Amino acid sequence: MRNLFFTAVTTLSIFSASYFLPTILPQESEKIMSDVGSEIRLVACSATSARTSSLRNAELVSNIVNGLPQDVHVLLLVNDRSAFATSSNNSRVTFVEMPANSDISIWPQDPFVVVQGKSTTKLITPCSFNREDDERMPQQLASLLNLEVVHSEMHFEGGNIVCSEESVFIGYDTITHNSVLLGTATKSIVERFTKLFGRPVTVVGKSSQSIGHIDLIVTPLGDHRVAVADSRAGARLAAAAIDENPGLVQKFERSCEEMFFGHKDVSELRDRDGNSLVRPKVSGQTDKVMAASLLVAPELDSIAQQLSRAGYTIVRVPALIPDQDGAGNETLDEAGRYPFLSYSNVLVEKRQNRPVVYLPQYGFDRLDKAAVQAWASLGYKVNPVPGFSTSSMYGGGLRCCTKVLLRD
Amino acid sequence: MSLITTRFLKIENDMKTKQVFFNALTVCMVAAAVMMTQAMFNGAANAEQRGDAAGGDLKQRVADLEQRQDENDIEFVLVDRTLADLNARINANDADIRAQDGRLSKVASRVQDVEARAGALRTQYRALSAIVKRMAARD
Repeated sequence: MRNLFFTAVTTLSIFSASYFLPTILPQESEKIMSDVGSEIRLVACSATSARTSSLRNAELVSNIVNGLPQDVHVLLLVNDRSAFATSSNNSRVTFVEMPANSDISIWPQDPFVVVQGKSTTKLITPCSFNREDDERMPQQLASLLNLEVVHSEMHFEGGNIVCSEESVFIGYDTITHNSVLLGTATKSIVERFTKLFGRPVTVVGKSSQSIGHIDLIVTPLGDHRVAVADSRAGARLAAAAIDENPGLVQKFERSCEEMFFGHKDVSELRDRDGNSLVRPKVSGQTDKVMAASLLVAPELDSIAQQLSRAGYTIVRVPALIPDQDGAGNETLDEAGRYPFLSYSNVLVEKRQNRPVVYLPQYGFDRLDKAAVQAWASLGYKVNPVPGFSTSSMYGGGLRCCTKVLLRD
Repeated sequence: MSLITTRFLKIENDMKTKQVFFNALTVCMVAAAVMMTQAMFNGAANAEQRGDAAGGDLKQRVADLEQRQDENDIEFVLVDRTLADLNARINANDADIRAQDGRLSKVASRVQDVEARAGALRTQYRALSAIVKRMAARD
């Protein structure tokens, strides 16, 4: 009799445990999508039209789509669908219309991050995101792809987060910003990010960032390797370019300046509120930018040393970095908005067992070529993607203009 | 061995047999319970994954978005048809500048008028001063 009773109790316990355990234990570990990994399959970009934005990027979007492999599908966020036509019925691109009257930037990298489990994909949004209507981007993408959007209590921008399999790298400012806003110690913030992103966190930098987003200067490569921008090398290359052929550098400067609004005859525009937008002065600014690059170089060296001490093998890629004091201001400063020549703001993948980098090109020949060589020497197949001079005057490169949503 | 002892051993053997029987029954029921549990909750787990709206089928959804690509469909060109609007904005700027020029011209001509009037008044003033001086000299 007693045995029968125990048998029944055991049976009931097994039923209960089977029912309740999945709700108690996490079903599977979800992790922020790594910037290093297998073949890219799906990315999001955004396009703004001439009639809605001073920074129009149809040509750049074409370059990005054509620069990525044929099997990469692109979701193109647009707030002015009727403005755009495509050359053909290209099945690689799906237009994703933003709600009427929403205003978007060309930077889908920032308003959310992608986390994945074995069979789940979620878009995590920050507590608040105040740049135009970009916070609507994840909702539109999730709605199309039938994904879950999780609204986090943390404050972050995707550009200040990069990730490898080993760690998620978060810029110092994001940690301190959260610490102040949430009234919690930075250690606790790091723990919360670790839990949210499912990977150990490495804080990049030890003091306030002079460069707003770390994806402009830090690229995880996997296998405990990280590429850190070298603005000293960038300044040297720029100086060599001026020595060798100053006309070419002037041509680059003039081209950046003249094409800022898409046409050399356009030097001033009115925005939708009637405010005057004047194109910045780039001609003759390379000398100043070289000086600014040299000034920021010790900070980059310090980041390289910090990551090296954390156990990463550091490699350097050149960068030419303008003075960042006025960066991020919405109003254009005609005194100087030189392109941020970042060769760290890239997309990487492993395709057919070979590492591949999609590298933005800015039209500064000497630096563009040096960057191609630098990445090739790291063993990467380099796919240059041209036309980033204008977007880089607003401070963003290829990674800023895209968001990888799926890898194979 | 006494009869009582023999009976006791027999009873003990019977009990051991029963014990073995119940243990075997317990193991069988537990095994059956495990199999039933798996059968019952396996379906629920699958349903939960589907309802999770998660990315298990994201690859499939991407494939659904794409149709088979034509061979000539290699180059993608996105055309901004509102460049004309950009021109319109430039023209509006030009019109503003022209209007401002016009306003400046008007102001300039007004300034010239005022200067001419001031000159005339200065002449009148000088003439009157001369008359006043002459009259004072007569006195």
